[in-house]
Formats: sequence, C-alpha cells, structure tokens
Amino acid sequence: MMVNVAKLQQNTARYEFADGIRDFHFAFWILVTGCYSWVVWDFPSSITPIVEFARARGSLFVFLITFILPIAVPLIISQLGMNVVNTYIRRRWLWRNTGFVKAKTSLFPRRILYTALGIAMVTFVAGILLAIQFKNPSLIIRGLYIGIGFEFTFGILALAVKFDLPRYRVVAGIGMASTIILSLLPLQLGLFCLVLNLCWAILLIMSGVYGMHQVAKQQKVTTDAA
Amino acid sequence: MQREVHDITTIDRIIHEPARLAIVSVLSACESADFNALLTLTGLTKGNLSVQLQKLEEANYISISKSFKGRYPHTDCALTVTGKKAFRLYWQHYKALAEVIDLE
Repeated sequence: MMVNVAKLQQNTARYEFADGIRDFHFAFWILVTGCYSWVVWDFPSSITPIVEFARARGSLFVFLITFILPIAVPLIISQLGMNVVNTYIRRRWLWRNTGFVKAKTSLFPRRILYTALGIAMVTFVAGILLAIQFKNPSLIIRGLYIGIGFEFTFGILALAVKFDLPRYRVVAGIGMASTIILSLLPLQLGLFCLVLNLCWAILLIMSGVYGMHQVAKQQKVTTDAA
Repeated sequence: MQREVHDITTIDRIIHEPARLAIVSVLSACESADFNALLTLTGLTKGNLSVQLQKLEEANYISISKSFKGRYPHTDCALTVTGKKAFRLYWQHYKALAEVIDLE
C-alpha cells in the first residue's frame, strides 16, 4: 500500500470548500459590504442623521455605527450562523455517506494571506497616487475596491491550486476580468462598489451551487453503490 | 552509513505502518473526522480501520469520541497533541532519510 500523504491531506482539507457552502458565506458578506458602500457613497444624506447621532456620542460610537454594526456584525452573524447551519446541512445531507470532517480554523498558509494583502495594498497605494495625480479623491476608494478584487482573485486562485478545485480557477478568471472591466467603466463610486461586489457575489453563488450539486451527485453515487 | 541505519531503526513504527500513516495524514489536515470520512478518504475496510484506530488510540496519538446521532452510533477521531508532535517528527525524520537516499 502506497500512501500519498500530500494527496490525502489535500483531499481532507478540500472538504471545507468542495461543497460550496463557504462560497455562499463569502457571497453574503460581499453583498452586505457592497450594499453598504453603495448607500454610503451615493446616498450620503441617508446616513447623515445616523453619523450625527453617533458623533454626538464620541469617536468610539462613530466607529461602532459606521464600521462594527454594518460590516463586522453581519460577518460574525454569518460566520456563527454558517457554523451551525453548515454542520447540520453537511451531516444530514451533503456528507451523509462520505462522512463529516471538521476543518482546521486556519486553512490558509500565512504566505498566501500576506501576499493577498500585499496585492490589495499595492493597488490601494496606486489609487492614492492616481487620486493625487488627477485630483480626484474617489480614486482612493476605487483603488481600495479594485485592490480587494485583485486580492480575492489571488486568494481564490490559491485555493484552486492548493485544494485542486478547478471551479475556483473559473471564478478567479471571471472575477479578475470583471474587476478590470468595471474599473474602466465611468460608474459613480457607490454604484461601482455595488456592481463590483454584486459580480463577485453572483460568481460565488454560482460556484457554490455548482459545488453543492457535485457533492450531492457524489452522495447519490455512493448511496446507489451501497 | 551507520547513522542512516540507526535513523531507519528509530523511525516511529506506529505511524510508519501504511494504514496508520494514511489515518494520521487525514487527521493532520483537519480538526476531527468521523469514521465514515476516514473510510472514504483512506480507502480502508471497516475492520482494518477499526483495528488501526484502536492501535493509534492505545499509543495516545488520537482521541476517539463515541456518541449517538439519532439511532446510529457515531465515532469522531482527532489527533492528540502527542499525535501531532509524533507525526511532525516522523515526517521530518522521513524527509531527512529520503534526502540521504536521493544523494546516494
């Protein structure tokens, strides 16, 4: 019996991403931040009373209202909700026959995380430089969002290679192309953030549905074989 | 040469056995895995898997928790701290030996 340790470890670690549930989680969070950015940048008057209310209570409260509540809370809720719902769905349906694997908390090597962050930072800095050059402050935010788009592309591509998941290569390719195309379109800042995030969210939802379908098919084959 | 022979004889035999190496490899890539997942991923038979899990548990390399999900028994396995350390050492040892063999 020949044991391919690396392959076994890869097959085990990919459980977490193979069924597509993680994709829905990412998509949800991206959608929330996209909608939030749209409201903040294109309809600033709609949040002015909230910001004024927060400002009267100190800078910590502003931070709480403008960052923690709209971004961190959905992320935490989706993370916690995901853990409970995913475990149930996976045990009951997706991994009924092939067994349940509880993933490690840190699946990404630090090298990949830091490189992805570096890519985002470089684009962000490029946005700042362009903003100074063209005297257009909105380019800073655009740079940040494009940077996040490139960061996502790199992260998803790294996932595709590390866990041998071809669907992520497609997602990374289309996501990268969408990010570049959208960055060239003359969209309003908020709308740009919304459309960019919407593109990524749709891609991830489609990827999630595909992953789930594949795993469900595999379960059916296993059931039939049994 | 004498050192290499000594290295080979001191390799962790509990992990070195192919079926157990497969189990430990799977468990090293996750927090825990249940019996069915280990069956699927390692390709071992139920009987063999049970025996090897028992041996790994006796060596304190894995922890096994048994429970019931509805009417069905459920077995969860995870590497212990000792098991993680042993697997890391085994892997370092193995790679060092492989390098020596490559050079020769």
